[in-house]
Amino acid sequence: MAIVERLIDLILWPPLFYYIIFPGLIFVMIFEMFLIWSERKIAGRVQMRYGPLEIAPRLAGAPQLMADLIRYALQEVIIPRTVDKLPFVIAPIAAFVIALMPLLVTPFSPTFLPVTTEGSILIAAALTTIPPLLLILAGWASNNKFSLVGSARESFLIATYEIIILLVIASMSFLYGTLDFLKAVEAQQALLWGIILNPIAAITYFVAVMMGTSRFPFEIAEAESEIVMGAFTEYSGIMFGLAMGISYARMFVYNIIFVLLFLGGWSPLGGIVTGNYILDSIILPGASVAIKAVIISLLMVFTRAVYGRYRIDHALKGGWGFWFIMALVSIGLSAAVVYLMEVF
Amino acid sequence: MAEETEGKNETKLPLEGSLRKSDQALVVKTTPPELLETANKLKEQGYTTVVSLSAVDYPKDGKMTLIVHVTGYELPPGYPKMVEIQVDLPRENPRVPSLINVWTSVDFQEREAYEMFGITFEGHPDLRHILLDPEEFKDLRPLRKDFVVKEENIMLKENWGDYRG
Amino acid sequence: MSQQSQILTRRIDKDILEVFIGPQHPGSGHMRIILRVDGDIIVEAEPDIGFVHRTMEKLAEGREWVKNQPLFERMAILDAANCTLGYIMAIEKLLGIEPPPRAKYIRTILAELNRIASHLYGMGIFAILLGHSTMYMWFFGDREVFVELAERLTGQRLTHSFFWPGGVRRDLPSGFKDELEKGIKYFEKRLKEYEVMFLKNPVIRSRLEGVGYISRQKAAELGIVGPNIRASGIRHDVRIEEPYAAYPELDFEVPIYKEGDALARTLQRVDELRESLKILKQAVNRIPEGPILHEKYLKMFTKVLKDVLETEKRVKLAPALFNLRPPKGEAYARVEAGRGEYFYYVVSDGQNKPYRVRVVSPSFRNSIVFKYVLPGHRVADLPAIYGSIDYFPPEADR
Repeated sequence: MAIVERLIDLILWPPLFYYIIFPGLIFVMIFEMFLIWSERKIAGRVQMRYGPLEIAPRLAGAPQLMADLIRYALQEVIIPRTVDKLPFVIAPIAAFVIALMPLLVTPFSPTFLPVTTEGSILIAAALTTIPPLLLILAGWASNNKFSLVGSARESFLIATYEIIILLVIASMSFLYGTLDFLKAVEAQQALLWGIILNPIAAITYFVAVMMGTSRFPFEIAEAESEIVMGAFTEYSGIMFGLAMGISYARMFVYNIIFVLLFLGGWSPLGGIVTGNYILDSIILPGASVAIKAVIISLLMVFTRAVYGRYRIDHALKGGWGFWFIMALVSIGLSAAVVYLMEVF
Repeated sequence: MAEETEGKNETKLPLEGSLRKSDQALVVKTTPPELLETANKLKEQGYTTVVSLSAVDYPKDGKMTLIVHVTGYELPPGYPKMVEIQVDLPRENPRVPSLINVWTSVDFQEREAYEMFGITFEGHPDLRHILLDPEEFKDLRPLRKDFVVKEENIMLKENWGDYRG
Repeated sequence: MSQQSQILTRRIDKDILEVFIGPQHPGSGHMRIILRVDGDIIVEAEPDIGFVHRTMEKLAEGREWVKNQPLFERMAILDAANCTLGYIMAIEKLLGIEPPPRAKYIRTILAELNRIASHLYGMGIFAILLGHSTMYMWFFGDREVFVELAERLTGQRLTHSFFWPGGVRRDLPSGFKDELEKGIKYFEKRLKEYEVMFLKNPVIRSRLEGVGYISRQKAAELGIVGPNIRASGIRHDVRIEEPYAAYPELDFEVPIYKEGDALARTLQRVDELRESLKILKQAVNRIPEGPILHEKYLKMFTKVLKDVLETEKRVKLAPALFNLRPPKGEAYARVEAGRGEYFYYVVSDGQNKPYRVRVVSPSFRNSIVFKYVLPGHRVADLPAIYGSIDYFPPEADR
């Protein structure tokens, strides 16, 4: 029995637990599987078909992605002769790891957070900007024309959406007067949810995240019918699986930030007191954050069923011509709200 | 095959030719030097588009006939819907002036006639193979009658009856 | 490193990137388009077709007249009836016979079913090229209705081999009229949903408006056919210019658009779907009674064959019918298929095999668009133009 206790201790050992289980790798994997499965199911319902069904029809094909992952894992990883090997191998792995790193500073409850810091919003925002750079690296290292075109498109898009996202996050931290997620959530609990205080910021952030994580209609950097798979054209096997997962992981992280900044964090379930420490401090608030993030993510993936794909110049025009201005307006709105709060 | 194409040109199109009974196409015979002139005349009359440009090989008569079908979208009433230009060419090194400056639509069709029959269109800016592999079919002209398709044998095991159990 | 230097390189102009779209590319069919791009702008495009070339014109010289029908179906199996009808009509012109009225109506019905299926197929591919997966599924799903109706009529979903010089091979099955009307009713409802989802979708509109513009004059010059030329404002439709089958007796319009861009070509196809439904409704109601094969052949039937025709309403093919020997001569015939005009030119020397068959398919004539229209557009416009002209490689390559 001692071994079992040791094992449980090991699993619950904070560094391991944070990085591997919650809110780290396994949690994100489960989330991704659920999200991809439900994306395919919802799209299937709209598109007069079943979606995944072959594997475990009773579970409506839910383990389909497990099968896909096993296949990816067992597939040979082909590294073409002409690629720049080191960056080619490193880029998707590093991008996936760094995409998950903002979870280090995003709290899931007032007490549960891996790293306590005053500037958590700043760190999270900074970390989310790194993975797209690695996508560009992947495209460059692939030595393939389609990858190059994909990278070029991605770099155009980065310049657009990153600025919008950062401006919106800045406007919200301005509104709450803090750079700490914990205090931002507390401010929302004290006053109102951020989405009501500054709806323009919320909508702008939503669109910019869709642009940043290759959701339709902004699925431009990996437009299949034009440039095959964008920066990941040359990838195969588990590397391709990872590359596919990056955009979902990023979307999930962005949406956790969305929940913390706009949707009141652990608001409804976080206040319940049952007496059980783990239930009160981790499971209920964590669940409310995760469920909200899942709902937002589902909204984002649902656009696949409705829209086609924009051309890059249309997306850039929309990004700079409209959403950038909206981001500036959201800062103004935040200032107005702060001023009003001071007055009353 | 002149005997099938009898019938006077009763249409209003001012061009010498004969109306074919089977499909009411106006058949205009011309020669390589006069081809461009005929084509220009037809274009002036409103025949804007080439439907087909191809050839028929007659090894027995020692000739090859270039056949161009042209039509127009706004033809005056009484004009034939389809005009067929026939140009007899020698089988050895057939050359005709390219029609591409008259009708752009002939571009790919001339390339096809070039690779299939070996007809050289003088003045075509880009006379290359289009459908076939340029190396494998460098000297072969598949649609000529002396190109015989090799029939492949049906794959049957010699004693296939033994396997039937 | 030494391995890398073995790869052949060729200098091209500075700042010009040469991109090969296809043939192993998810956005192209069995074809290749060699693009030279300056930044995101295409400066030169060179369609390289022929990857599925089968030299049908040569193959056709080696088999009996009617046995070529299954061969020519392989040009565009999703439009099989239309693309073989021209060949059959050319043989009929050589033979100097006309099919009986009922056969003409059945031909029209099958041709229109095929036209709808072909348009839906093309638009489905178009939708997925624009990244709209829902419309891809919808178009393909609804195409099934018409494919199955064609199966009810002919016994085959795609390669019907249904026509016969002087008639058709089966009569309308019992209950076909009701099924057809049910299908038409369903599809009319769906057309409205397409409008909301696809035609009025702002993203799709922004991709198509003003893209791939072909002026009226250029359309005539390039010799493009089908919905593409009609979307440029030229009312060119073989069904009206040289009416065949039952079209002269039916009341329909040929819609045209003046804009000439990708959006006009898309709307053109949808309008043509409506007209096809109209034709189908009329044809199935007005169909006259009578034989389905020319009486010249009916006389040649033995008693067994006649019995099969009476009881099962189908033409059992007598061996003698396979050895048609049209008289010496030439004839052309053209039909309006889903993608445009099919042109057949047949030469007979009185034997049981054709001396020469020339076939020009609409996609072959449309492929010229890539060379003359693509330059000046963005790379991302390629799928929009490729899809909007409804290019089908096996048809172009023949």
